[in-house]
Amino acid sequence: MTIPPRTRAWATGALVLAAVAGCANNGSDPEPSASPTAVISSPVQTSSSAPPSDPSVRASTEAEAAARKYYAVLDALGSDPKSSLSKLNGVATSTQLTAMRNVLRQQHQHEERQVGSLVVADLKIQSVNLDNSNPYAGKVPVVVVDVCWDVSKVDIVNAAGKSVISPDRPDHGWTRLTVANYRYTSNPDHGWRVASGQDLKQAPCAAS
Amino acid sequence: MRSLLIRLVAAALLSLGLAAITSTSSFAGGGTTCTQTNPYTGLCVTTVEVPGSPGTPGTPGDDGPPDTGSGAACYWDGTAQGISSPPPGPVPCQSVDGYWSNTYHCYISAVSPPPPAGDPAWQGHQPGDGGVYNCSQPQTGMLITIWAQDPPPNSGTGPTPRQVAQIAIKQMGLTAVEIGIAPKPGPNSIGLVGMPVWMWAAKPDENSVGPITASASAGGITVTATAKLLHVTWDMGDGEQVVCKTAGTPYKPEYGRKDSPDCGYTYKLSSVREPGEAYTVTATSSWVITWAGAGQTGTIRLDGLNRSTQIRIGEAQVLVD
Repeated sequence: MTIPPRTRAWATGALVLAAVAGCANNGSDPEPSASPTAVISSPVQTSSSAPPSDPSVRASTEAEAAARKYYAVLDALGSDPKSSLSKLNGVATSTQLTAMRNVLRQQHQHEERQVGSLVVADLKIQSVNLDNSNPYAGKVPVVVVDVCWDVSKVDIVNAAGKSVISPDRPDHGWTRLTVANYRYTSNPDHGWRVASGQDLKQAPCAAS
Repeated sequence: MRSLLIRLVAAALLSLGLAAITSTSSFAGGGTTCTQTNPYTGLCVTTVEVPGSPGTPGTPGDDGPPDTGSGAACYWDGTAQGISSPPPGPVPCQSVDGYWSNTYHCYISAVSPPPPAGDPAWQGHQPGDGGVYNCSQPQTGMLITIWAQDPPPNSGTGPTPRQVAQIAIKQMGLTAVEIGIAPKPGPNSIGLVGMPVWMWAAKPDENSVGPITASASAGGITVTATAKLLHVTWDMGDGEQVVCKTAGTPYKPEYGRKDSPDCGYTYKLSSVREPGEAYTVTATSSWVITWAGAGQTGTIRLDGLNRSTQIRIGEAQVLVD
């Protein structure tokens, strides 16, 4: 297999860019913004085909992937009380990083363990805003994602194997995630992290 | 079990917030609203603040209770949130979660990076207008997000309870006792060697003989202090001291040559060799101030208040033919 020179140059550049971004920033600190761009659309249709050229569609695709990865990492960290919480840095930032680190830290301290995995039963992109005018102040590209989750197969048990979950816990519900990219200038595709979450008071989606 | 109980308490509190999104629990003068539930546990995971209008007197024979330390500047008190366990008490002023705020009763750290514009944590403010802070309560496991125009005060750099108690003491206006003494001071009165001298606190009031209570607040700490007069030390001017544990008994002429029942003295020499031919009598008050606040208690000793007067003591001459 041969790679045309122009393609190799693009691929090498992308790898270098990704490597530099990965080494220079752990996802917690915003980077200096480039010239502000603002694209607002709602809702956005995404597709799983080749990377789209429309920035807002690309952002939606990456944010959706980031949201799904976020829950996958929570599942992994919750099921292993000895796992390092630094993995959260790759999927969460800002208030969400602090909040979930707090939750998992306590869970680990109490030797509680998650059994089963959350299922993303539905996911809807609600809006995209690529205003990157001041990441240090919070003006960063964001994709608002509504997630309907199903935790009917999830339990949290203590060291004795006894469930510590209230029987009143809902098995299904909606959470509105704000997925932000504080490194949009250098890493527009893979810098998306869940920055905050909010309960949605709406009827749960159908069980998966 | 205890931690689970704490979390259940927190969950119970938070479930009130979940029942109706507008319901709040008391917090730092405002309230809190749960904005996000952890799907895995059903417990609240992020909470946003709803802005609000942002000793013992000594027993005879001892010298009273010792002066205690300054107390801890940082303290936990969950009573305003309806949380009695853990009970109010001092906490470290620094932790991995930030610095302690007595105002918010949590560890404060700036949210970094700040939440995206429009996030509920901004409470309607635009990025750049004030800041968003994490407010972490290890006592309850709660993490509350607050917005504030300026960083919440670091209580570790604020006053200690003792310093706040001293503000309360200043408000009390404690004074030295006004001297009552027989023989009366002045050029027209003279006592005699071997005759009883009576000392007492004239015009006693709460400022001079106590007890008196006052409260003061500073740095998120409110302290209530109560001052009680432990004793009055009478320096008689001839090198002797009398320690009276009461305010003394005012002398009346009908008492004649009786000794004071609780605060008296008898000179052995005349004052003729003293400056002005009078003894300088000084009454120094010793106060014990007990304070309580910030989940702590302590004692402050105050011994400096004094007042002086002069009395003349002569020797009776008996002529024998």
